[in-house]
Amino acid sequence: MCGIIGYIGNRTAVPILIEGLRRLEYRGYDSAGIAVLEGDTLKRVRVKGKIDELAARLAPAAL
Amino acid sequence: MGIGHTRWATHGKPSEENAHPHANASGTLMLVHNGIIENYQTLRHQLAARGYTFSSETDTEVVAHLIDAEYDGDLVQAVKRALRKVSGTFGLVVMHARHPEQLVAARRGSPMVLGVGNGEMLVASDVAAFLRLTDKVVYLEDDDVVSITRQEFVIDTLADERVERQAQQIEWQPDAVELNGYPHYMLKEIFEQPEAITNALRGRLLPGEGIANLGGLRSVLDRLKEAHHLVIVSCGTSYYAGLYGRYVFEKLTDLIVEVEVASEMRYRKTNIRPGSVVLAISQSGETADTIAAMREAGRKGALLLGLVNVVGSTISRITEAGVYNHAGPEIGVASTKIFTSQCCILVMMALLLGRCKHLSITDGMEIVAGLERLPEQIAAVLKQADYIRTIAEAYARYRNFLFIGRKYNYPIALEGALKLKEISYVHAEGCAAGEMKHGFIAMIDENFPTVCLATKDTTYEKTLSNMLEIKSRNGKIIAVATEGDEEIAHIADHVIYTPPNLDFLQPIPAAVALQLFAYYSAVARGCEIDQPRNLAKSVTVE
Repeated sequence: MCGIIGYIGNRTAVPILIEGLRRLEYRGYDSAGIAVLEGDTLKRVRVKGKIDELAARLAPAAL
Repeated sequence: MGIGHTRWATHGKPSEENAHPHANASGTLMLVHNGIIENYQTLRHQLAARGYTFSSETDTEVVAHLIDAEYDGDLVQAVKRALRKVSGTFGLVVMHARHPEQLVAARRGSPMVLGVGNGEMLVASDVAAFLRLTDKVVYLEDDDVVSITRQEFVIDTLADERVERQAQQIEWQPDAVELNGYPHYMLKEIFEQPEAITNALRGRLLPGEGIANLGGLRSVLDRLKEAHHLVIVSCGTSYYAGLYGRYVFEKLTDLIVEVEVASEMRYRKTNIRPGSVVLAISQSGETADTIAAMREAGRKGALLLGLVNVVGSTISRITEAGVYNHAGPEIGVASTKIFTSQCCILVMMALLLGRCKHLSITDGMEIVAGLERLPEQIAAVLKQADYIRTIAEAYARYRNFLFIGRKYNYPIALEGALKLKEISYVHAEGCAAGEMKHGFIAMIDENFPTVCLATKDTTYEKTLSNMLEIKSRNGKIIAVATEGDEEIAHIADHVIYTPPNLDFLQPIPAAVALQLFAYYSAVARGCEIDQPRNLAKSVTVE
């Protein structure tokens, strides 16, 4: 229960985290969130609900 | 660099504030956590006394502040010092704005696996999370604390000892975690069963000798031959597989077999002692209660065996020997392919032990042949998916179901009812057919249909009588029966036919028919299939 993921590498982390969380969603889907390093600050996005809702919340920010 | 979390709520209701990642006050440190911090109230009071404030109700936020309190520039040491103050379970990943080239992960009691890529690293609760990026993995062990950069990882224990862990190659194909055109993982996994059973049997049957060859048990075979007492311990669907296994072990071996729900057995005084064999069944190998029950059994001197799907999981490591399902990842929350795979492997284990005792080679050869027929027999049930869907649709308005079966079919009735409950939220009860008259039949009327497992075996006539009793009380009946049984069509309103096999193997294709029935019932009711409400897979919480 509860799924966690961390990524460190040269690629953009957000799509890798979202994709990973989708694979872990069987472990729980009450809420979801990610945090990434942007410049020298940590940016966090959290939602109540499933990964789809997290992805939707992130979509405008990704533009 | 980043971290992510998907939550099954334990402490604090599902809300944005309680969602992970959790942060320290300045937002320079963030972490995700799987598990339960048992002493979080105490830690919370201590931190509050030092001026820390909390923005959520969770146990995890306490750890974020605790690491912050311990932080002096070295993130790994801060995590270690913090975790030494923590009791409970955790898989966690921490990142800090001042360490842009480092993730720190740690585990105790919750699964964590490291993925080693080319110039990149991943860490997750399950390899499924990153299987498309790398198949090179390192399984972390309890009390490991790992510092991860793009290029390398360094593992220490909480006690500050450096440890080396070998990277392993994952055998699962990347598309094993894709839907591959199916609308739901559950349906995909139902349809994967001929292959999953083939994989469970592959290389494990010796037809000429009528015996199973289970390499994972070879090292303990001599002790198994001497054993008199087998305890099977598990939860949920795996518990029903265990109940099925008991009938088969009792038929094929001389063992005294008990089947126990892990969350009960772990707190009970049992008669487990040196010489007892305790077999844990768990898809994930991480089921918290099953692990705890096994640790108790180990303390009493039992030989510990595992039947798990996930290679490298905790149960696979705390047991002395065991058998893997080799069924590929199961992602649908309602277990399907693992249940039938577990049943087949239990038959093979019983066959192996039976043949080492009184079971004859000819009996053994018949059983091997019966097992080998199962993949095609399950495929034959899958071909009836459309027909089963029409039945499910016809019964979609009913709010209650009874499932009955006798002997080998009794656990299948329980499992059929559980599947329907899990994904359709329809009240369904499984009942030993003979127990029906001792109470349950009071519920039966024209609005309370019954699913009858009535494949041909020595109890068939008795089950037929039960069906007549239901029918005479206007109860609707869906029967699962053996091909060629025309008599039953006169009694039941609907019949799903499954292929003939040895009496104790017939329930396995029958279970597949009930999985399809549950699936299409949920579809007809517009339910979420892969993510049923309130449930989650891999129950790492007690």
